[in-house]
Amino acid sequence: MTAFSEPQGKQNLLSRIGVSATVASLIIFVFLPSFFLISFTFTRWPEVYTEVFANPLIGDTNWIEIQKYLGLSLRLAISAVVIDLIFGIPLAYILARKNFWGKGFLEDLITFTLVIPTSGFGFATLITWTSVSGLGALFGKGVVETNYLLPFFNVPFIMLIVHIALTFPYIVKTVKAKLEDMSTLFEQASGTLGASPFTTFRKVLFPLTIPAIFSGAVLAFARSLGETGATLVVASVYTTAPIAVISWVSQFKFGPAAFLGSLLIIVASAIILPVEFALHKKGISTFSIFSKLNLEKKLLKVEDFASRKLSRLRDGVVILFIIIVVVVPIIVVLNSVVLTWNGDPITDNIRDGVVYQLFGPSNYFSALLDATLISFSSAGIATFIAACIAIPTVFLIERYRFGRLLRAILRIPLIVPTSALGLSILLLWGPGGMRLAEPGIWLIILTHIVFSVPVIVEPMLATFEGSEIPLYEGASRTLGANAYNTIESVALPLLKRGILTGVILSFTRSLGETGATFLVMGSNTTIPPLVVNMVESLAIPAALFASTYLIAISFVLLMVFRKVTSR
Amino acid sequence: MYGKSTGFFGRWAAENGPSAIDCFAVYESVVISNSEKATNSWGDSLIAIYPEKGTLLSDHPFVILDAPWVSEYQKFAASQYLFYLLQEENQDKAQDYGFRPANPNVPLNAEVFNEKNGVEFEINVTVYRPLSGEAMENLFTVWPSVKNPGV
Repeated sequence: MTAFSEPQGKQNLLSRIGVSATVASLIIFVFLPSFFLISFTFTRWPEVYTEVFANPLIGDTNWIEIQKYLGLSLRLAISAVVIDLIFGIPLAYILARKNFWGKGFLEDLITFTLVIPTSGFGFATLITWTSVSGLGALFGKGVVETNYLLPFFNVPFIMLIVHIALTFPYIVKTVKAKLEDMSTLFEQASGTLGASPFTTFRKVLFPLTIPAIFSGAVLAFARSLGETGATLVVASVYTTAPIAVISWVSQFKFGPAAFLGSLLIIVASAIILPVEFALHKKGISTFSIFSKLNLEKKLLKVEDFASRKLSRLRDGVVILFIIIVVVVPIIVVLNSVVLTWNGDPITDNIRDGVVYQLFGPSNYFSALLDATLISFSSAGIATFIAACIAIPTVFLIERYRFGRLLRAILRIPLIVPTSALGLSILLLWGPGGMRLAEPGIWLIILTHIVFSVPVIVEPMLATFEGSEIPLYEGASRTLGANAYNTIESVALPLLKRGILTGVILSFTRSLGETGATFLVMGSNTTIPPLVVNMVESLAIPAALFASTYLIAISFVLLMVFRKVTSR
Repeated sequence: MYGKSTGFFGRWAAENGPSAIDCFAVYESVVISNSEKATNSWGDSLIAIYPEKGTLLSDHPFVILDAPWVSEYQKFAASQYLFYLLQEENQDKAQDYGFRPANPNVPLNAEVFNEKNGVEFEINVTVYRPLSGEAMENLFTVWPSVKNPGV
């Protein structure tokens, strides 16, 4: 607080303007669209009541079903995050602390699932696991049934795989950014004192990275709860909450859709917020439980053994994990494109080939080029505006008492199922509401800003916390720099990595977003909805090609990013 | 829900063969477009089963709105498009994709609608009229109470 409360009147005024401008833009561009959905539940309560609780035909079946949908969504999100953590943290550690051949490539692979349109990725995974053109080619039939239920977790296997693939990058990226910003001094000290790498990790790195681990886990959890595009493709007989929202929207039953969307937000907040507050209160002490149980000695032995013998195994398992969830689906897609290039491999029908569909009468190629332009400009503009809002927001969160609350509320836009978000934006800003923009690129941008701001804020906060920024700022101020100079030349450079991570996450998410964009795009189609359109008009080879194209673009993009940001 | 499109589902079924799925409900056009694939890869063609008690035709309705926000020009353009769609040569083209012609002057193409493609030339069961809008909506409503409960 001290940094902003300057005695000079001018500075004070400026900072007030800054704070209120940030808060105002947050409220208008981020919170309003997210909460507008909830208001729908109240304005349409009679419709919600008759549809959900007292349906003349089926009574309260919908209410019972809603509880099941929410249950499945939560189980799925929790299972996905648990597995993400198991594989994601070692992965982040390897990427941050080791140098090896193909490291950059590995990093790009991790970002891939964020860039590929989710429905396209859902397809790839579905084909990989359940059909003979995927892994099934080795066995002559699909590896698993689409509706195979994983025991213990009690979630559909294929849904879990998809959710893991789409959420683990959030944990890896956030934890890695944090580790890279941390000096290796502590680790070296711990090593010199005889601790094995595993012990060092548990006693030194883990406690220091907890904020990053937690913020990554929250991003992943929220992403999984709201995931629509890919889940829809692999859902089979199961229904998650976002899918139920979509199917209600498609029947124009906005009331129940908004009701379920709101329930999702409430339930998720009820889980995320207490965990966060508990973590901040008790801090790291929670994790010293081992010493109380007198397990310390045994644990040290195990860790020592593990460090000597198992580090290769750990690396191998982590790499295998990536290969299974990311690489194999990509290869399946590429393979299908090659096989169907000229025509269907089984029937030789050229109408089912990539070339005919791209350059033939339906001319999907030029549609793809148009969509590329729109995708890039909307993702770029949305990410830029979101970054402009997100950066001051981070300072608000860190400096003001209401910051914690702000941070908590900022999680909500991530939980809103994207299709519900699209609906909300359409009704709020679109022709039916404030008439701010017609369906088209500007409405796409307004939609993407909503989830981009929290996506950028989270990794920045993770970098901020545990860094010594307040200390350096204090020093800078004592030496006579004013508040803005301090932020510009001290805080922002220190936050660089967090900002870049956030911007990349947000840009890629924007590039791959399907559910919400579909509702607000008007005639300005971006690539992911185009892929869905191709699939719906049965131009599946064209859809596969478009996915490959997007993979190629993102690969180039990520390489450029890496060149620019390497230190 | 297996994605949004029955077309993808039909393709998946034809690709993965009898061990993956026994029967599924799709359009005639989906059967036609996947029958060759099924025959070539499994030696067994897809066979459309027309329920004895009758079936429904998906009539792909074309509606020109008579609403205050629709201008005369738009109505005219829509009617021109309808005219284009119903022209005999265009109706004939649509048959290649497995759609039965809506224009009665267009003869049914026996090269598309035949046993080899898994469908019947003539539909010998009762064809029901489409349900009323209210009944359709109620179908959606009761669906959650009759569907496979999942988890």
